[in-house]
Order: sequence, then C-alpha cells, then structure tokens
Amino acid sequence: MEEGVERGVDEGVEVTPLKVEFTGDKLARYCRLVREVNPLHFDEEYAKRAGFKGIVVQGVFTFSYMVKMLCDWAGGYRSVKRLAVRFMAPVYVGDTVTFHGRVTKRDHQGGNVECHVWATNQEGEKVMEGEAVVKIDGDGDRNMQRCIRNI
Amino acid sequence: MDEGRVSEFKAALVEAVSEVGRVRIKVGEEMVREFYELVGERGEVNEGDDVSPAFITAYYSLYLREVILKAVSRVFPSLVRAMIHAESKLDVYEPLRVGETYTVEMDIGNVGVKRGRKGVYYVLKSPLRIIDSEGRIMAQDERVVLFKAG
Repeated sequence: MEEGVERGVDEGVEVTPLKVEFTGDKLARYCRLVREVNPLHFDEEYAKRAGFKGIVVQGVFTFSYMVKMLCDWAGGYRSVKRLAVRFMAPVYVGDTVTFHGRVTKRDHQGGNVECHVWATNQEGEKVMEGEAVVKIDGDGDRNMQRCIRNI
Repeated sequence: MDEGRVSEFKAALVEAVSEVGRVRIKVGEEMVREFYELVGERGEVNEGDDVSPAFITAYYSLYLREVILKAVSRVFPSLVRAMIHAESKLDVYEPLRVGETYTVEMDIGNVGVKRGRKGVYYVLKSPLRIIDSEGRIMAQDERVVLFKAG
C-alpha cells in the first residue's frame, strides 16, 4: 500500500495485515546486525534452562514488523507517531506471526488515526497487543517520492 | 525475594548505565541496508534519506548491548537468569536519517517484583531516548523489561 490511506479511513477499517515467518536464518541475521549478546536469542539450551520452549525472537525484532505494517499501510516513514505494545507470549524460531491493526478513532483535523494493533502466531495465540497513532496525511510529497522510487 | 536483592539488582543496573553513559551511534548505510533487506523494506538508503521507524529498535539495540555487557558481570547469573522485553511505548518525533550520528541514553527507573507462573521477576521501567546533535529528541521508548530472578 503506497498511495496513502486518506480516502475512506474511518473507525473499523482494517490495516493491511503483514505475515512474517521467523526462520532461524532470519533470527541469526538479526542477531548479527544488532550484535546480540543475550543468549536467550541464540542459545537453545540456555533458553530451555530459563524456562522457554526454545530460542526466543527478540521483542524489538517483532516490534519492528508492527511498525513496518503501519508504515506500509499509511505510506510513509513519517506516518508512525506512537506505538505502544505489550508482549503477551514469546515468539519462537519457526513461528509464523501475523500482524494486524484496526482503526479505532480518526482525528479529522490533525490527520491522525488511532489503531488497535495485535499479532498472533500460527496457533492463533496473541503474542503482542497495543495501540498506535498514525498520521495519514500531510506527507504527500515525500510519500509520493518514495512511491516513485519503489516502482 | 528480599528487599536487599532488589536494591542490589537496581544498584548494579544504575552502575552499568552510568558507566556506559550516553553513547553516540552513527546510522550507517550498511546497517540500514542490511535491516531493510532482512525485513523486506524497499526504501532508498542514501546519505540524508529518512530511515524507516521500523529500524529504531534495531538501532538502539546497539546501545542496549553495551549496557547488558556491563551488567552481565554484576547481575548474571547470581541475581538474574534471563531478560525479557515485556512492553514498549515508542514515540517518534522525527525520522532518523542515514549517515547521521545520534546520542542514545537511558534511565533506570523503579524496580518492582512480580511473581508469575514461571517464577519471580524483577520489573524495570527504563525510558530510552535518541537525541540529535542539537539536543532534540528524535524518538523515545518507554521500555518495560522483566528480569527472571536467579
């Protein structure tokens, strides 16, 4: 979704969902990128000793995809103003997580919408839930430049 | 869990954060590119471009790494067995830009104790800020982290 969402965005509208498989390779690449030092995210034995089923995906990594879903939907890097979430269950290597959102309120003057956001794993278990504030207009030129680059 | 252990834990974290201090980290082109490739982001990565806010948590993780490394020797494994990110409230005021260097800093707030099904946890609220060279806050994240007691 790259054209902005100004038209027809009101309470109840669904944010375009984003489905992500957290493969071992993906997590290993993320660990290298952030120079991970917490063994919970790369040492299976450690994770099991700490009471988990296996290697746990970083909350900050899953959080990134929630932000990405909102940016993709709203059409710009300046669109996400606030994202507050609670991590409700661990995401493990091999899990497939679907990120969702729904508009709960629209501020017609400020151009912002409030969204309820959540993510579920392949079992339908909620792993993350919260609220977001997203700007859906006012960055038209910048968004258009991005769209053109991405064509 | 006695109050003494909670105080000892908090003191160790405060010391670690104090030693690490405020850290300046560059938003390197290579790191942004790798992140975009990893998450399937298609944006441009040239000097001065806005960076997707999806990148922010990966960026500040470089700072957290330093704090964790400092804290490990003090609190792991005697006081803590595992660290779990429980909540985040991220506010973004301005996008980070490729090639810019920002300052990252964090406060150690109150430490509470929570008893869950799987054991006892220290609960830490630790606001983290990303600040530009003119002192403007670009983004801040009020993080809640659970530390599983050892």
